[in-house]
Amino acid sequence: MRVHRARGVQPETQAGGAGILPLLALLGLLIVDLTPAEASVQRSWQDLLVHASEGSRTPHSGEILWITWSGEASKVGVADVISTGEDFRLHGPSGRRLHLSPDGGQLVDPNRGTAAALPPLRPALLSPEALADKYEIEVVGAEPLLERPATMLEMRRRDGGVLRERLWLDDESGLLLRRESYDGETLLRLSAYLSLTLDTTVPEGPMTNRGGAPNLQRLALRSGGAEEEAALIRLATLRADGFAAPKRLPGGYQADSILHGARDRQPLHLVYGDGLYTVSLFQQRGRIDWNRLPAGGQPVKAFGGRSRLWPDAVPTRMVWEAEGITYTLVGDAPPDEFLAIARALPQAEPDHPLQRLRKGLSRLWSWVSPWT
Amino acid sequence: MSERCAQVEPLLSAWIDGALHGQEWAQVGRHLAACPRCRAELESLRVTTVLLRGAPLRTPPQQVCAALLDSRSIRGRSVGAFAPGSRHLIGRAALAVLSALGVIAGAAFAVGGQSDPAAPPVQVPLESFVADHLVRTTNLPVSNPGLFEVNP
Repeated sequence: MRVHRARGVQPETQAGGAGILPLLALLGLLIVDLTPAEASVQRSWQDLLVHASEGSRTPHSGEILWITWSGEASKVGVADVISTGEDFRLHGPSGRRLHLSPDGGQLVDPNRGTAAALPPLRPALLSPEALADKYEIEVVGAEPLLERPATMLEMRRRDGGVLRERLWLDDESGLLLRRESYDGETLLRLSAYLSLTLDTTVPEGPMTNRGGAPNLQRLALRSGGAEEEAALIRLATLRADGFAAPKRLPGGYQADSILHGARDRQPLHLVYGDGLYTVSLFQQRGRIDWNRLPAGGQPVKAFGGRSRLWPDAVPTRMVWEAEGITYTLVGDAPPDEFLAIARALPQAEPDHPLQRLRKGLSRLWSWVSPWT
Repeated sequence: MSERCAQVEPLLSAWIDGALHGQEWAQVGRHLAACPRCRAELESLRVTTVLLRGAPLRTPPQQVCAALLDSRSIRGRSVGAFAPGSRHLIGRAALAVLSALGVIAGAAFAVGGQSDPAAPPVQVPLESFVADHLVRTTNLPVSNPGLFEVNP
């Protein structure tokens, strides 16, 4: 890639006791030559991400392309996007329409004749502090895209230096123009705007459908104060009730929020994040109804026969059962981190071979014996 | 190959490296979205790039080469190992009994590893879970709402 690598930190000035004339000459050169793209290189990654956070609320419209790869399989598509900043709509090639807003949204699939109500959008989870704990973030430099000045960021894991993300942020608006997700050298996902217009007015349309989604209570764990305290107490209660509710998961993933209805209402939904990726853990009491799972799931070796992973799906999803609870993990974490998280959660204790044999013989006998 | 594919193909390598800009970037992206042939080409480029970056060439140990080349020693061992005992009738009967026991034990082992039928079965609304996950985590500056469309 033809990019110049430069740390996006404040430039060091070492004028010291030198004369004023060279300094003025240098200043003049900077004024003449400093293009907006070059100016962006001098921003820190924290500034750029704060700008991106604000930029995600910039009114815009355009076409967004995405490609995902998993093993030999790839999926691709282009969707029309229109956003007022708070109200986001996406119309895909399959005819699916997505509407997200702070008041609730809707996912319409005309091919299946379904319209699912979606809960309200919540404030951003991104935390620069959490990011810095786990990732080395580098401002690579100016990388114009769509004939717009843009700046590219790279994120690598601190331990091992594995490349995770390349982000292209629009200098003017802060919008994310292109995102590439990696597992080391392997490109997993790419999404990018193919065209972009800022300051779009969104017409009122038939998509708007407020409400209807389950009104779940949300307790934020990183909110501080009384709400965080309540969330911690709730986590402890859930553990006492037999659910898996750790505060932390491997890979630096911390509990972010608990979503639940009335006490004991299922499923329970816990959200974990590392500042960049998020995973959702759903729990239901009971064993999996295997016949009603979507096709394409494959058993995961470490979990025995009582698990299914959909390797080509985006985001990644996995279902397994242990100790009378069905667990579903959904997330965009890289594959190695996703499996490490799943392994840290309860798994069916593998029976001792003799114990399993005895249980199986007993079941076989109960099927063929006329006395049972 | 269409005329458009012929125009796009030489640009794919630069496209995946992020070296295309402006209209060229968008035009190749739109063509990729509509053309399975060029997507397959892109996929092979991606795989090749990954392999070239990640896989250093290694020479197998000399013992491995020697063992592979010496096919006579492999044939000799296999004949010597299985020939003598298989002619005896008792041996065959014992083998049949052992096989039957093995089948029963295998079936029992498989059945014994299944879920506890006493626990109530639950339906996992996977698509609904995925939508819930996406909508609750999509409001990030680096979020990717296009994933809603990828979701089958």
